[in-house]
Amino acid sequence: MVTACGGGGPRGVDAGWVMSEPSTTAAGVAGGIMLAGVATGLQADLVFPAFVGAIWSLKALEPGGGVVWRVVQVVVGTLIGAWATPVAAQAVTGMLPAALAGMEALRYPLAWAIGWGGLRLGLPVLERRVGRGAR
Amino acid sequence: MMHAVILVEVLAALLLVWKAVEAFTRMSRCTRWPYAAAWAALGGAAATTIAAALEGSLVADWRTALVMAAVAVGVCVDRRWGGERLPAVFRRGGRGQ
Repeated sequence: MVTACGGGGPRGVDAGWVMSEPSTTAAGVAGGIMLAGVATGLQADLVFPAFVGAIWSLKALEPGGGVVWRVVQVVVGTLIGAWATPVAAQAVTGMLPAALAGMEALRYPLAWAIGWGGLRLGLPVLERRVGRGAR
Repeated sequence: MMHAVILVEVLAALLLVWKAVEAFTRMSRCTRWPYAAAWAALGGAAATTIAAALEGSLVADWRTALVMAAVAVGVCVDRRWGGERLPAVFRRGGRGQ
């Protein structure tokens, strides 16, 4: 009989297998992207809609501006979208009808909306602050 | 070898994200939406590749790396894409982008 405490296998093979469990579980619970061993909480599948939302918000701006600054804006918008979506999804789930509440796919339009809205609404404020700081 | 392939994929993805943002920087309200959607999809796919690499789930496939590198180089070399002027078919009204 193989026990969960590692007593069943020769030379403690089972014990090694059991020891690897907690880290796997922790990664699964934290989810998403790990940077230098730190769980960032970013979910890779939300990066696409959040990025598309963030980049789409640039379309409404005047053409021009520094590309580096725009790249920073899009990266920040993507991070906001990808990070805030799970929290927002939890909040929104309570307001939805029961049939829609369990739909995992709702996270994607939500990530798009947060990526788009976060940059569309937050960008003017950010630019005003940066502009004021430059002066 | 596997790491080199992943590095090529990530570098190509970074270039594509950069070019996508550059293309959007030059767009205006007059830009046709399919053109914007194509750039958003390309940039989004590249961003997803970077995220997958960070997550450790990116598959080292040399064909994918080759295609991504070719697209990235093509987009960078061809000045029509993200350049000063768009082909007329992507513009509404003939002026502005």
